[in-house]
This record gives sequence, structure tokens and C-alpha cells, in this order.
Amino acid sequence: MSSIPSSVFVPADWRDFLALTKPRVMTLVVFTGLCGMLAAPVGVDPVIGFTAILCIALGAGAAGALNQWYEADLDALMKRTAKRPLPAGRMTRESALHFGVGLACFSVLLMGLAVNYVAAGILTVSILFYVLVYTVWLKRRTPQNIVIGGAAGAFPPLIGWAAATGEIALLPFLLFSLVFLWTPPHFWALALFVKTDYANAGVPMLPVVAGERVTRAQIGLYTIPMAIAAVAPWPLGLTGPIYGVIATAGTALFAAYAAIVAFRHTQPEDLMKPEKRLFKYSILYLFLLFGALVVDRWA
Amino acid sequence: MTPDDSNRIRAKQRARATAMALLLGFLVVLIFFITLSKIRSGMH
Repeated sequence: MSSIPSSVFVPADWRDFLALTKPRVMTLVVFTGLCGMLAAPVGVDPVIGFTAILCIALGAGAAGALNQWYEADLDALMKRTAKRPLPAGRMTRESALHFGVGLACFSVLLMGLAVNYVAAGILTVSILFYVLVYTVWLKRRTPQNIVIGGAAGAFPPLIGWAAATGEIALLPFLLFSLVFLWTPPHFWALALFVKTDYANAGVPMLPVVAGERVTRAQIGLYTIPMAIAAVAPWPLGLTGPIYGVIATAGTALFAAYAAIVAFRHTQPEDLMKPEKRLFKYSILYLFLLFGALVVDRWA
Repeated sequence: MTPDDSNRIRAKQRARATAMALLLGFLVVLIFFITLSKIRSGMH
């Protein structure tokens, strides 16, 4: 494709549209949404359940596409994102915008008509929150961008639960809080080892603006309420011992990794291994806890 | 535009059209089953 002269209009490949939806991020979104639905105390018709998860995935994909549409200039400046369809010039911005808006409207409409309007309403809020509050408003303005913006990624378990029950309860609210409070340590661990990338792009991530020491301290601080939100469903009687034991052990390990990151200093030629370990484990941690929640509910 | 360019663009358009056809086919099947589910549950 690179051999085609730039004067020739080349339509974007379907794979580029797929890449626009950030499929890897979608995996976690779909998983937490599915677990939120399976943890609900009522059974769901398999077709309606499948449709709800599909809508969550499409909504997340739409938000990802609109994020990439808005941030094409930033993505071009960062090594990690420079090969995405827009900065690489494989797609026009207009195509990305139409695709994102179309997918967002379709996902919400399908959720409302096939599942229920409570789930559709929360899905709408989550898409708008990610695109308008996080991408447009916060990301380039404040180092607290991912703290508030993290709420966008915390909606799927709430949507999954609402899809099954048609309402919101304390357990999905705690799951929302868990993902919301998990996001800062997760992203700041990443930001510590890709700091140069963010600095080059002018994104005010905490390590760029406030320095590493403050970032490390904030990772430690946010881990405390996150640990409480993770373990709380057990003593509150909302889950059984399977979730309780796994959540306690998994959270203890998370806290240990976070403490190592919080109390260390970067050395010259530092490979940032503890930060990379915390980042990788934080993903596994979320899968582990949500998986345990479902096992606990169905065991 | 060379014939080679034209062929590549055609191939890309064909791939997109196939992907869109598969997607629409999937949606038809999905909406059919959603309708059956709604009928079964008495449209609650």
C-alpha cells in the first residue's frame, strides 16, 4: 500500500477500522461487563446476554475510535501509537469520525431496544464520558486526567449488571469503584516507563508534570482505597469466601508490588522492572478478581 | 492511476464489501433471535 502514490484515493482496509476500536482494551471491557452480568442475582436469556455484551464491546469500540479521531495528532508523536491507522495515514479523519459516531449510536440503540433502557443509558454516559470528559476535556489539561477519566473504563460491570437486572445495586457500584480506583496505579505504572513518549507528545501525565517521586507516592496512595473496594464485597456479605479469599490474596500481592514501586527511586540506566511488573500484574489482577466473582456466584 | 493501483484499490473495496456483507448477515441473524427471545419472554 505504501507504494501507491498519495494522489490516488485508497479506501481504508477493514482491518484498520477494527484497529480503530482498540481490540486489546476491549478485551478487559468485555470481560468485566460479562462478569458484572454473570454476578447478578438473576438469570439472563442467552441471546439477550450476548447482545448486551456485544453492545458493550461496540460502545467501547466506538469510544476508542472517537478517541483516536480526536487524538490523531498526539498519536503521531508517540512511538507506541504512531502506527495506528490515522497517524500512519491509512485512513481519513472523516472516516474515523463517521465510523465512531455510527457505532456509538448503533450500540446504544441496540442496547435500548433489545436489552433495557437503564443499560443503554449507562452505556451512553460511559461513551460520552470517555470521549468528552477524558479525551477532549481532561487528557491534555490536567495530570489528574486518568483519575477522573478512569471512570469511563469502570462502567462495563455496571452496564452488565444493569443489563441483567434493569437496576443498579451496591455490588456493581463497588465493582465500578474497584476499576475506577485501580486505573491510577495501573496507568501511572505504565506512565513511569513510557514517560519520554508522553513528554514528547506534551501529554501532562503525572510523571511528566509532577515528577517521579510524586507519581510513586500517588500509586501507593491510590492502592489503599482500591484494596478496600476490592475486598469490601466479602465482609459486606455481597459475595462468598471464594471471592473473599482470592480478592484478599490478589490484593495483598498488588499492594506489595505497588509498595515496591512507591518506595523505590529510579537509578541511572534503570530498566523499570518493578513498574513493568506492577503494570502487567494489574491487568491479571482485574481478570482474577472478576473471574473469582463469577465463580463465587455460580459455585 | 496505473492498472496495478486500480487492482489494489479494487481488492481493498472487495474486502470491505465482503466484511460489510458478513456483518449485515450476522445482524439479520442476531435480530431474528432477539425477536424470538422477546416473543418467548412475552415482550417484558
